[in-house]
Amino acid sequence: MHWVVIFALLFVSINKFLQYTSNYHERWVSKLSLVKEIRDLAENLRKLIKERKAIYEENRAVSAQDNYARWTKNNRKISKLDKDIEQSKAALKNASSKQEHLLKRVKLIALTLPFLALKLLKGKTIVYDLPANDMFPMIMNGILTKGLLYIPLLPLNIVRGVDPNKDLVTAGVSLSVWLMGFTKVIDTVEFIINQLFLMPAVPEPKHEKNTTKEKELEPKEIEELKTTEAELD
Amino acid sequence: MSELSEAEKRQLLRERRQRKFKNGGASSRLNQITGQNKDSQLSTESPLDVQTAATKNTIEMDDLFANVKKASVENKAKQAAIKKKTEKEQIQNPVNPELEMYKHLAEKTQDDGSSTPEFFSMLQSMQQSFGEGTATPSSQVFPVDQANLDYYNYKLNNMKAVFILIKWLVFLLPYIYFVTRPKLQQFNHQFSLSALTDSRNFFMVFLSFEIVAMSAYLQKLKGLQKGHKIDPIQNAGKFANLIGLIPEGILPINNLKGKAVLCLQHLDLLSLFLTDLAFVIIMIGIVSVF
Repeated sequence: MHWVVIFALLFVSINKFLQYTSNYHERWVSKLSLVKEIRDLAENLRKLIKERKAIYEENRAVSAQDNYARWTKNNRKISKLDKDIEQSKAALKNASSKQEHLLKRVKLIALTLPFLALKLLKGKTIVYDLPANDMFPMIMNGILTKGLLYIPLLPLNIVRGVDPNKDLVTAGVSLSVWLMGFTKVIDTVEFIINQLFLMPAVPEPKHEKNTTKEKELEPKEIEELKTTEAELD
Repeated sequence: MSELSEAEKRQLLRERRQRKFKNGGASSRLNQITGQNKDSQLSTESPLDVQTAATKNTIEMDDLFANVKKASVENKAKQAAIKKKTEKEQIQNPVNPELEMYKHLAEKTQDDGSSTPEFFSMLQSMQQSFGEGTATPSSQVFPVDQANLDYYNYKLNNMKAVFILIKWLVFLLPYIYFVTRPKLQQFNHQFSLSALTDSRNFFMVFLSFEIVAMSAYLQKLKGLQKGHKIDPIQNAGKFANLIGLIPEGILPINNLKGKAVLCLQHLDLLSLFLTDLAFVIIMIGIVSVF
């Protein structure tokens, strides 16, 4: 396999990995940070959350009526811990904001820009040849082999009288088109798995059935129901 | 000291009352209740007197209705006169709707006192001023049942996922396999499938399959919308709602929102087609390598 294809697959895998683990980034960064202050703040926050969880579980196991004093004492501890947790979270966020900014820059330089450069410089590299040149029409062969730039250049070549497919010996799939197709297929597979297997079912809304129909009044009944002047008086 | 018991006290009071009634005190008690004593502060108006007030009220109400009717008739006449006047003026001085829009925008900025009024509020107010008297079906607002809409979206996405899975696994993948395997050409020839599995006919067969699949998908979509009583124009996304804010008359297209919804539906179909094309390209590579 061509090294370009291997690198492209590597970049795609890393991007997907970062996308799937986006919920854990903050925790990993705070745990593995080189700055001691951030590590200590993160450790302190974890302890507070653990303590709060333990007291909350204790409170749930105890009856509020039977052990009122203990229950209210725990409740006060929980509300105090909530405040401490909020303060600790804010302090951690402040301390790690610079680090997050730095990591975003690192991601841009190490991942995004090289991937973009690979697509721009090596976008016309043929990943594989099509089994036959006549599988797709001429224009499609041109797009698959030369990339999406073929579309705006086609009318120009026709006007100049140049054959747009003159360099085309065997039809193949270029890296740029292949990457677009590959990411599209992965996204669709994600959608299918998520929708059919991971997503919780939405319950059917229950509509209130009106079993009693509104009785249509006859004109006589309407006349009877009309209040007379005497009744008003 | 003799304290009287409760029962004895009651007995005494009863006897006093009976003596009073015997002596003609009943009338005084009755007068007290009805407020006919000299010192009484109770109202002596009889309920029969309220009747005259009610009849007065009905007469007043009738007068009021008559006045309101008169006023509405006068109002209508005034409005018709104003309309005639404006029509005359328009004929004499034809109004450019674009100019009017810019005038309205300028007025809006002056009213707000800000240099950059909100885009959506501007469009909405423009629609109100230009849309008076030209109520389009899209401008009528019906309450949307959110639970029903969520359930419909869930069913729609489910249907889409199953549809794509069936197309890929049942039709496209086997077809690509048969087309790209030269060893299977003999097998295809035996069963007269050579026309279908010939590489020259691949794109035509693929396109025909896509047309049939899209038609089936669209039919299912319409059935789902009908089953859940979902109107795609009412439940359109933000883009279509934004298009719907453009007042009628600015662009030479009727029912802009409906057309936007139709375009979005076709874009959805186009996206499905491109997904299948991408799958074909990737699978051709995988099958030809392995």
